[in-house]
Amino acid sequence: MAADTADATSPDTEPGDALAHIEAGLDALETSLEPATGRLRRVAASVIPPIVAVALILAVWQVLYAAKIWPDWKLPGPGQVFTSLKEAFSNGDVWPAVGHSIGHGAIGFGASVAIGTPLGLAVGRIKAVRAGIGPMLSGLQSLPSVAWVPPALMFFGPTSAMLYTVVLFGAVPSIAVGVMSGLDQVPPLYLRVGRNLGARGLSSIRYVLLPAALPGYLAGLRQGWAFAWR
Amino acid sequence: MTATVETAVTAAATTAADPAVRLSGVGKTFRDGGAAVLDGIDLDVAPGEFVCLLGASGCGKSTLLNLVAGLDAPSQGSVDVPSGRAALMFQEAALFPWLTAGENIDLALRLRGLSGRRERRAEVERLLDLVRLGGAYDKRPHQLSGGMRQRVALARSLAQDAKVLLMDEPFAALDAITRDVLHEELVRLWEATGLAVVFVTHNVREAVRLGQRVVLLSSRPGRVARQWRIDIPQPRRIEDKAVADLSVEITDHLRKEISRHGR
Repeated sequence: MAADTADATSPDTEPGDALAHIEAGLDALETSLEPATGRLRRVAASVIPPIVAVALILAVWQVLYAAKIWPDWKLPGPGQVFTSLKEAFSNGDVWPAVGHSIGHGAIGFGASVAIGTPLGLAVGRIKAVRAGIGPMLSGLQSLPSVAWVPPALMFFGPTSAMLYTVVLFGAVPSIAVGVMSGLDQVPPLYLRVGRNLGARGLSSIRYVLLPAALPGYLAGLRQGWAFAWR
Repeated sequence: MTATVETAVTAAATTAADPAVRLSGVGKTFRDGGAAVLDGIDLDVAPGEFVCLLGASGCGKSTLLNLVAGLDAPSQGSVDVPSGRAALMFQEAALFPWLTAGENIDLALRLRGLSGRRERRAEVERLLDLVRLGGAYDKRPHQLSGGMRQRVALARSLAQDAKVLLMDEPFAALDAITRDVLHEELVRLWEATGLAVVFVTHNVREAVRLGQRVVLLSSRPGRVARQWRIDIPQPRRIEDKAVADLSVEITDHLRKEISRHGR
């Protein structure tokens, strides 16, 4: 009521004001009413399902164990496995092994990123390079990295060099293909907008191309990491 | 009537001052020996003038804008934008989704070479206020409605500080009410900024609602078929009788132009 009378006396009838009000009204009506989900809710939504899933698997395991279908040495109960894991960790058997694996994986992955990213950029942006080695990369990408183990063993023997070779051959194609498909997915309109805004050469890559290609690149990195790890 | 119908209406109006855009004998062919998309276009746009380019599909409207924006080069003739460059807006807002509304505008300032972070922030806020989106700095493009996105895009174009604004069917994808409001908004900003606007559309009413001059292009190849100077005073409305009457006349010419291709 008070607002009504105030409106009647305020210079609401000016054309600019009227336009501002219509615009504000449209904006309000077209903006979704969905309340922003609270942080606690979002965390809960991402944390609870995995916990429930793990609990369910443990429960099924326990039930199978209790049913005594297989002897203990074939299917030990969750409790027994947990105890022996705890022992292995506490007497220091596990840490060096885990560290060793992670170290090799991380170094190999880092090298793969350093090689795969520029390679993918070259394949994605330069037509001749793409025609030349694009199909090869796709082929290599679908090869399981275990396939590299025998030749790598023959060349390097059971050394770190052999491990890194396997990791590189597995991860580099995935990362390069990720960069390539990320670049392919960049809408041409973005590049035109970037050019019109004044982005040329390096600034175009930095401000438009790379952020636009990022989702594909991350997918490639993820797959590359999976290969490096295996 | 309110409009004079002449084919060479420009001459008197624009030779006085340097034009904001000058096209002389512009032709465009995309492949050697291919059909011409544009042919012999002579067109001057005066500083601060609002020109609507109207035509059916295949008249090369978008190609013409790309030439003026410098995204493409003409095959014949010359395209001259004495003030340097022209800002370009599309049917889609084409905001970068990895940036917020404010950061999108900020990027235009940055690429213009403005380095002071605080000055840029103030300028972005000023531009957001100008399109009446104050407080939307941190909104992501997907959180905004189509009309709001187009206003952010408009603010981003203004951030380029060009003297010429090129618009390629910028409101074609919006609903009628939003479009009507944005028409009003655009005319207000045009009057406030003194920009020369080249507005491409296939909507005759929209062209007459907005422009000081409507240029009808023929199709395949695109040529200037006819021009109308529109003296209906702003603020106009799309429902105005004067707008409707002239739209009928222009539509008749457009239809004639299109049916040439059906024979």
